[in-house]
Amino acid sequence: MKKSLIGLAVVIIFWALVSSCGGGGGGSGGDSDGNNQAPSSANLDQLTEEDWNALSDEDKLALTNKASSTLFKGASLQDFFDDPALTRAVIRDDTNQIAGIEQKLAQSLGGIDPYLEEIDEKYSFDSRKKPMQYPLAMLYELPLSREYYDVWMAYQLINTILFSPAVELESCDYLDIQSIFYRLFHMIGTDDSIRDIVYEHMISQENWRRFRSPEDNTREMMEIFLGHFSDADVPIASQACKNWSLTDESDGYRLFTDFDENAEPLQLLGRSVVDCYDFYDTVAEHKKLIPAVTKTLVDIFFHGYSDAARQQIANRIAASNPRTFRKLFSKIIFSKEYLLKVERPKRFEEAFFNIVHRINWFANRNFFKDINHAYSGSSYPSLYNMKQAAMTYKLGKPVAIPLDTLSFSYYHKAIRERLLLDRKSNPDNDYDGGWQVEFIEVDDDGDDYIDYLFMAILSRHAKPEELVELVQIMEDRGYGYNRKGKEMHRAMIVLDYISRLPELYFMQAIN
Amino acid sequence: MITRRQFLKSVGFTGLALSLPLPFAKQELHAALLDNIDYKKPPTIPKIIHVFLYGGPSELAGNLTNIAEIDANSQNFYPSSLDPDNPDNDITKNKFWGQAGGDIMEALMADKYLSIYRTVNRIKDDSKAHGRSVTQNLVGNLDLLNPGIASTLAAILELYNPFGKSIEELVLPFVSLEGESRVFALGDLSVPQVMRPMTLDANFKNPYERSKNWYVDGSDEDENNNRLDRLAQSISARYPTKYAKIIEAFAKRAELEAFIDSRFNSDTVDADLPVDPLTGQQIQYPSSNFGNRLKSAVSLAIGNPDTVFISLGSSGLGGWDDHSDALEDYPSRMNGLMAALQVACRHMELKNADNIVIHVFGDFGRNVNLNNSMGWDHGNNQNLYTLGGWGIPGRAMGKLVGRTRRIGQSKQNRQFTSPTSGSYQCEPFAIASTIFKYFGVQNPQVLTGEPAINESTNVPNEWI
Repeated sequence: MKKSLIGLAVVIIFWALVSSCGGGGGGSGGDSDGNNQAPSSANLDQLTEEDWNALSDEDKLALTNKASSTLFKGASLQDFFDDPALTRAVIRDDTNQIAGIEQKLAQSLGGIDPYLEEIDEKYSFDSRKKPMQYPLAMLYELPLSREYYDVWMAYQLINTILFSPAVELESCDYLDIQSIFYRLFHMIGTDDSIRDIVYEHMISQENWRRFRSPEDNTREMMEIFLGHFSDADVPIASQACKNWSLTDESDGYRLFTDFDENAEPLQLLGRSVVDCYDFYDTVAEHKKLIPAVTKTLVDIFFHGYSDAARQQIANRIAASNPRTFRKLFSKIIFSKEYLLKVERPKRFEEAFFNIVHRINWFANRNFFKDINHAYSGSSYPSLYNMKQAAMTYKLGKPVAIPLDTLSFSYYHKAIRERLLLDRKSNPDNDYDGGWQVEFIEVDDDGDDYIDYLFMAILSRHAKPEELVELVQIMEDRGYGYNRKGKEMHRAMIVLDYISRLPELYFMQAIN
Repeated sequence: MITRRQFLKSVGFTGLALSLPLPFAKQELHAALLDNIDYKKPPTIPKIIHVFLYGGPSELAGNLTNIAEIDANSQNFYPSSLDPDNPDNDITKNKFWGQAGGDIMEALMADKYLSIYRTVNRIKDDSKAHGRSVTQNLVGNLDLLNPGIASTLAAILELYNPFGKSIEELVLPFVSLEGESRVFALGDLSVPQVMRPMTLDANFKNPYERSKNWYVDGSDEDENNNRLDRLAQSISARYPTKYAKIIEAFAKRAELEAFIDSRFNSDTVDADLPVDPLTGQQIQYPSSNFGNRLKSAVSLAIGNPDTVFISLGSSGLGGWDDHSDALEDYPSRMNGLMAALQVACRHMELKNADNIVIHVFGDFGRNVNLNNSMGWDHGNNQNLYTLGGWGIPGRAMGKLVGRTRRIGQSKQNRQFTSPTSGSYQCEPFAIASTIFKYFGVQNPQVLTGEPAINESTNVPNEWI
């Protein structure tokens, strides 16, 4: 009897293990080992004052930076504490910083022209590839604001399968990026609906340069915007679009529509459809559109959760019927589930720009050009070499951040050599970028100095074993605490070490 | 065919021996392999260069047998160079498209470097959807959650170890020249780190190099650098699951840096290219995306004894989704691919590397109707181009297999080729089965649902 009960227990345990294979789910805290089982019910409510107040100061800093990182921004210790010297630090503003971020994202700057003028003055861009390079410069220079949020949302969307300009294709062009990006930015800014934005995109030449025949285009519109994978519907839909085509290279890959329209009513997606405009209208108005678009974004921000969990989250968000992208993004990134539970690899922009805003970093004149460089012969750690190129791929950036050895080596190289070990040595040279000396000129000394660097970049204290070994290395190199004027030497050792920690490349759950 | 998941669940219900150590999943998968696979160590351990043409390549470069009928029924005309009645046409003796690599195919077949299977045809789940088809073809199974072909192969090799040395001693057995790929997806397998793919750059760049931080170590020293690595590894080892891929990447970094420095850089690779006695010159790969990647792949396969699987496919290899302007783009792209493959085969022959198999195929074939954007939409029937490996027992080269007919309504878009009623045909998963068979699995259909490609003389050779 006992043996059979034990046997039954083993079977149950085995069954549970097998059933959970391949799953991901909600994080269980900052120290979790990524055992992301699907939460029974994700908490999509907003963070309350009570939630905020229940956090430690360290967790408040971490949470503020998680939200900031998502938005390609960062909160430095100087921003957060009234004195960055940690031994005396008190939080500068103890109100809910997440709510503060949301408020900033709702406030208009009253125009962005001054910022655009400054960008054009400070940075150099390739004349042809500027549309690809410019948006990151906008995101770097603009402060958190309504306009900033519009740019950020446009950047997120243009890098998804929904709206990618796909410049890797011969038929697509860098000018397509500008057209798509501006359209997204403008329509998001005027609070146009998701449906209208999708419709305008679908009827555009840029869309046809990506999906280039009636069958191709109609198939992909149904798959991408409705999650509708039905090969049987493709010939019907393509019949409605039979008079739309793309010219060849010699004619400039233009969208061409002739008079040979379909005249026969077709039953498709629950409606009667005659011409191609009808088809696009049907897709844009379809009940599956919001859920499919929502799922695309949830898959990105909640990457690592099981498919069932992501579907559940997407269903619940879609059920609230977000009319605009502003509403949709806010429901995702300001949900408690995202802020407190999500653990996933960071996209390069999330990691890099979070750190730059925390370490008094200066972008050199060519930075936005270089980071978007697509030349395959270069060893420069560009987004292209990391396989995270912006606006390039036919199907958008991969949902799973490429962490194969090669792609990650470039990612690590960028963080280590172009950021953490890159000190701006000449304050008068705009071509010389890097973190500036003010970053390391703090009043902390000894172990507190090392701790300052950890908190400044990782939002956590150094562990005892880290302090012991780092201090030992410093002493072995002759940079012990008793050596004055060696702060930078000590910093370079610590920063090099931090660059080798996987946690630097991850969004963390917040305890 | 029982899927791996179904098998595991059935075993779970019938109960297990109490003494099974953790992790259960890995042990049970090994048990599944042991119980179901009939393995016999092959006389030669093959090497696979797996060239996947993302987007779905048209078959026409390798199959113009139906072109007259295709052209007569197409919405838009094909060029006169593909008119069989045109005395100056571009159709080769064996009905290849001359300028689309067909002339090269004739030479490759005559030299017995190449076999072409013209009827890799989906009967099961013909979705014509990229994502679904790519995944299924790269995992070698209808089940999208199956491990990739390379991961399944890794598990088989770990289990049966035909190498004559410990698995842990292998150096770069699985390599990707394309970054992440579903062909390496783990699914529910657990594969040791040494058998996980390492990614190399086909242009021999070495991003694994770390620039020296002079604050950490003085000249000629590296000890503190290593101490920083060890400290980071010990901290991150507390989260082996969460940070698995990055831990692996950091762990392999130094090894890869050294490997590229010593053996896989452009100087050593170029120096090692053989001299062709017919020309008196070193062989030269075309200076193209295909050429660079195949040079890397073949050089690695020849130069590194432990490498058994190299994956080589990306949109950078051409993006085969020719929905528009196909007649402009496709022929030159195919020709470029075949030119590089021709040099690869000569390279292998001159180095007596008769165990390296190159497979070339994609998501699916395409329509044969030229649509109004002058392209081909998604289809089904496709070619498998398989090259090299002439030393593998039972592998017949110089074969042209499969007969096709045109199907679909005249002047409508959906017109395809399809195997004739008496023709040999196989599902794309047969390619995975063939790979497993080469490595010693006698019954690969238990893993893929399809038998291996029939390479015997029972299958008619259409080659003229």
